[in-house]
Amino acid sequence: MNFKKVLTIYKKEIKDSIRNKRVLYSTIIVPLVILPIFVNVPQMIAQKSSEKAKFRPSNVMLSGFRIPGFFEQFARSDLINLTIANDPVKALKKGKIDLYVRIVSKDPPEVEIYFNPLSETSKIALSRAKLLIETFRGYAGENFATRRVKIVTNSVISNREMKGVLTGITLGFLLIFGVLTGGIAPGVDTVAGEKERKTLIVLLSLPVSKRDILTGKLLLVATISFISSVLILVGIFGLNLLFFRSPGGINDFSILGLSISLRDFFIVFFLMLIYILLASSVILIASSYARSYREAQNYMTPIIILIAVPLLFTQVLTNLYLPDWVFYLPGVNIMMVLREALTMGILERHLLLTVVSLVISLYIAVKILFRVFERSILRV
Amino acid sequence: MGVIEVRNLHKSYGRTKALNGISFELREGEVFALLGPNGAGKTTTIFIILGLLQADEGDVFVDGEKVSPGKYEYRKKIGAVLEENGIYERLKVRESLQFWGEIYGLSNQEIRRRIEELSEELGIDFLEKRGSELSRGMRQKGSLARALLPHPPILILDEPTDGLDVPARETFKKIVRKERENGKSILYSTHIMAEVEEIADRIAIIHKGNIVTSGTLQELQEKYGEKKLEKIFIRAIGYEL
Repeated sequence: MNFKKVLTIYKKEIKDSIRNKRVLYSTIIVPLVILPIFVNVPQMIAQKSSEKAKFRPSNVMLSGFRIPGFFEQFARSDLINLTIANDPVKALKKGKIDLYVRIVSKDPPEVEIYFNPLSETSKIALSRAKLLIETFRGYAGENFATRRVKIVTNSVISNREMKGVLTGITLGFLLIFGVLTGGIAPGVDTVAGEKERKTLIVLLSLPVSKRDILTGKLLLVATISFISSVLILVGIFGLNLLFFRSPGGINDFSILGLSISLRDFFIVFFLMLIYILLASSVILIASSYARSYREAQNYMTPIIILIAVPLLFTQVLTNLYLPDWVFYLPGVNIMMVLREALTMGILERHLLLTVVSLVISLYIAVKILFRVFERSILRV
Repeated sequence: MGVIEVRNLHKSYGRTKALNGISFELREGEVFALLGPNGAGKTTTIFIILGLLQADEGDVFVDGEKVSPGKYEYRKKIGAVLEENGIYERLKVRESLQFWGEIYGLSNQEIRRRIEELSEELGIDFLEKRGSELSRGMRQKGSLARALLPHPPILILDEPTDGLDVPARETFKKIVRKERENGKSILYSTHIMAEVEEIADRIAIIHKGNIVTSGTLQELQEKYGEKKLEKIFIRAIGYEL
């Protein structure tokens, strides 16, 4: 081996690569700036909201037997804001209150504390309330001061809901990741690859419209993405069948020990189909814009970031009841709808927002795709 | 009116003028050669005829029908062999031909029949081979088979023998002559003078986006007082030795 020549070639390649903006983008800007932003920002948001919660007074509802001084103990605290709710458990689930304390017995003194383990503010309220109760000294006359208040803590989130929240995020992420991993290779090949192999220009010279060609290609990418997602489900269901039983009989599917109704299953399925078409369109936009297979591959890193990274923000969405804005974000909304399907059932309002958001996004993506494809013909 | 009428075509790529008011017609049953060096504007003209590019100015009529954006049905009358052979690497030649036949709207039965006829006519004994296994000559044959598959009345051949070895070129020319005998109108674009001398009925010399001269070989010989097309070409484009 002639190391001098190897070095010469190596130096030329380095120079060539340094002058290639796409290489610079994927090797420096993406790992150094973009990925850290997307990974750290959700954590920063979570941390900030947790820190904010530490200084914010907790909304606590007290009810039950009246123990002299007990309510006052809470009312005196700057960190507690006493409040009331018609249905405290539901209010707690929705995040309208942070804690519900019920005095179930005066003598011996006993309280039940209801909290939401999915909410950081609720967990902070729990620790504040415990400290107040443990340091509570009642009227000596009632011999209360010497007696320790028995505390029973209850979670308002059932095991099923807890599991559903976590599984919904994981499963949704896997499904959407499946769409991407399945769609990228055929998406790059079917337009950019065909341009490079000069088969697209010949196809365009035949008696067929560009619209028909592109629709056929879009369906190809969508089909492979769909198969990829289905295979992920098959894998998960396969394992599931081996280890879990469906509690709902033939009308229910069971995912990792959680059941999902047939209705909700088909809703998620339908939403996934729209999402698959949307992701396939986005992949094909990049593929149509690129002059070559390699160029199209370079565009895929930002595409993955664009599609998959917003899903990381779901880390901070741990509440059972979610704000509406979440359902405007394509991809994130499917994950959240799946989560609802696995916990309390899909809420109609959220379903409507998700469908509208996905359909509008798909319409815009397809419009852009046809325009980019039309213009890119000149770039063949 | 010719089967293809090209009127005053102008086309620029940025500041570069590719076509500067080209006009010609392809008459029924003739071989019309567009002769010019690389970059003269031959492929741009063909791309505009096929609707792959839009002219900045001027019109193209195919069989009396004006070519305009969004129109593609007129291409059923055209079989084209472009510089790019368009052979699918991962498909067998038979599968590629089947696909193209379906695009032309032929029935399965008709496609099968045409594949058998063409494989015999063009000597295609590699129907079961994949595109990636084919030589340049085989690919060009496959490309010609695509063009002939729907029995189109018009053939457009853009540098069809480029890169082929001598026997393959001879076969190709033989096929072109046969297709002309069958009544097809053929637009033949090339930079190879000898081919034009052998097979063209009329010739247009294209240079820097202009047709500098046109006519039968005999007319051009008389006009320039030269016998060889090569000399005529040099004089027509004003090249000084």
